[in-house]
Amino acid sequence: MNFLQLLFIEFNRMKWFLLMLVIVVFGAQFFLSMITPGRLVRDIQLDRISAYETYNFSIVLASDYYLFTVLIPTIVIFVYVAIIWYRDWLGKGTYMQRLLTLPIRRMIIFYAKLTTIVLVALLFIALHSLLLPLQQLTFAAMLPDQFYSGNANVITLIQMSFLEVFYWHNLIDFIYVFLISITLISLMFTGVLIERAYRYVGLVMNASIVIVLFVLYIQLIEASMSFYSHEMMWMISGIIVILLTVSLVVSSLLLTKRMSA
Amino acid sequence: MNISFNTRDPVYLQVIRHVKLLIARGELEGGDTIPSRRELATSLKINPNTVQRAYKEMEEAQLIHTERNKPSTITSDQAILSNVRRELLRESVHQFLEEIAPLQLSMEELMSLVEEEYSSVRRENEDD
Amino acid sequence: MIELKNVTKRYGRKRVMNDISFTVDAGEITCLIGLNGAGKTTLLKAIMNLTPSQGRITVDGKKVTSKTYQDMVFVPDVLPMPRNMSIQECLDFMNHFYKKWDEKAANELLQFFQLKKEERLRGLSKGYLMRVNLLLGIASGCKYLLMDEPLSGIDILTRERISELLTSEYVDKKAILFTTHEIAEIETIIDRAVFMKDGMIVSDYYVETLREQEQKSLLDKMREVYV
Repeated sequence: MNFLQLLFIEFNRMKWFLLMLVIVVFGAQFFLSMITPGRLVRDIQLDRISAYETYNFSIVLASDYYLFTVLIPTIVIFVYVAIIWYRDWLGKGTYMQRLLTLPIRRMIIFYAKLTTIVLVALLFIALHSLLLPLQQLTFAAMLPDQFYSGNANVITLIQMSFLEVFYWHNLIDFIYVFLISITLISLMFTGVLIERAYRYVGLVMNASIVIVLFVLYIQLIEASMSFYSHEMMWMISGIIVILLTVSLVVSSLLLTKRMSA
Repeated sequence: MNISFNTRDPVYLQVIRHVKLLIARGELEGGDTIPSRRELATSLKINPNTVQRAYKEMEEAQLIHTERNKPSTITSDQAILSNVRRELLRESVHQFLEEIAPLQLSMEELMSLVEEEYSSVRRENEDD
Repeated sequence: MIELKNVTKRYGRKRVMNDISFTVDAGEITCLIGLNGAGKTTLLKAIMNLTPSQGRITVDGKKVTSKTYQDMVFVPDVLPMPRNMSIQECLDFMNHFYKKWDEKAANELLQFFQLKKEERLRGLSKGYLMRVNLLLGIASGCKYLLMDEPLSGIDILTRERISELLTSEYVDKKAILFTTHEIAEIETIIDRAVFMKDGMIVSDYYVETLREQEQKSLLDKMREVYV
């Protein structure tokens, strides 16, 4: 299938970078899980914190460093939203020339890149949810038993930390988060294509679009005061569907009629 | 075959001339096969349509024959072959005479000069 | 047949293509000649729909769509493939998308160009990248081959190979349209020369006719057009 072929190429292109990022991020998290117990014991010895209490893994999750290890891939993925396109124009040999002249609908390129971003984000979340229990075990192994309050439920750990943002509790939530993310990425893609089609003028157009969307966002927050939450839910869903549709239609038009490579 | 082309004359004429030269020198004889259009185009790095045109002209002049799915061959018609030789010679002589026309030589002068040069060129060629 | 009618493109006030009309036929090698900035590359890209333009461009009577690309392939001045790929991966990639992919030609051309399948693009010189570039274009099985400066900035051995390729059976029955400023090398190879200047076609000749009727070489004609 053409789509899968392009998806494969996208992953093939970033596999070493992705591997490196995975190693750095999760390596850092394991490292934190390993050294936090030592620091905890030292703080107890120095009477900075109570020796009569017990601690669990949430202390690692609460640290700024851990937040950092999550922020880094998040930012990288956002930057990659732009890189995944610009690389094909500006890299050695304009791969975009091949992509645009393949005997396939040009939107397939768009969908392949969109899917790549989504899959990378999901990959990080999936890996994290798999490795989190192991990180907890590492933490437990390094901390003397008298200070350890025992293994906590992973879900509880997540719910009690900032990680909650990245996880979902039910199917509706999942679909919601998923749709919002896809719309956001799609809008950013459209922004890239607008810049590619109109260059400087495109940048101005993008700036105006960002301002409009920002105003819309503020309006929504204000509106949330005077509407019931299920009403808000429908309203936001509607707006998202409209934004996504517009983004896809505009991208398709730009790709087929206005692209230069 | 190896030809260095003059870019101001039609290439197809140069190809024909070259084949004629090979015939005149006896390097190609009646019934010999000649390279296919494709082979010739690639080995001389010239346009296949040009070679095609040269072959077509040579076929029309009955200098070569092509049967379906077989390599082209030089005609076995001795009259045509000797004609090629004479024609080339005539061309060269004509060109030579045109070049020296401004020098206004008499026939006798010319002939004695030709005789002299002829024997010296002969000797040189034998030395080679 | 590729047909252009009144094709125009503006960058601001400047016209990079100005009312261009011409056709390209199968079985012919057409060369676009012109100084830098004459609009040669833009013209190729406009035909490939790699840059927006006004006017009418049709391939076999139809507007260019994704289906057209089964018949029309672009060979840009630099190989348009990611550099982490191997030659084999490039072949597989093209094979996947092109229905008329010519595996036999691909294998023969690998030999002809002295390329090794397992080599990565990253390690190849400019000349060898152009060899891969041409191989992919020809083996795609497309009838129309549009090439941008295939002879520029590469080693002489590669240029010789390319000249040989252009006279070989691999390009038979294809329509070839390419840009160049290396005229001497292709004088006897091409069928037709189209001269461009300031975004316009200023003359259009079959080179054999030019030699036959005017006793002029392409270089003579070029001096006439540009000086």
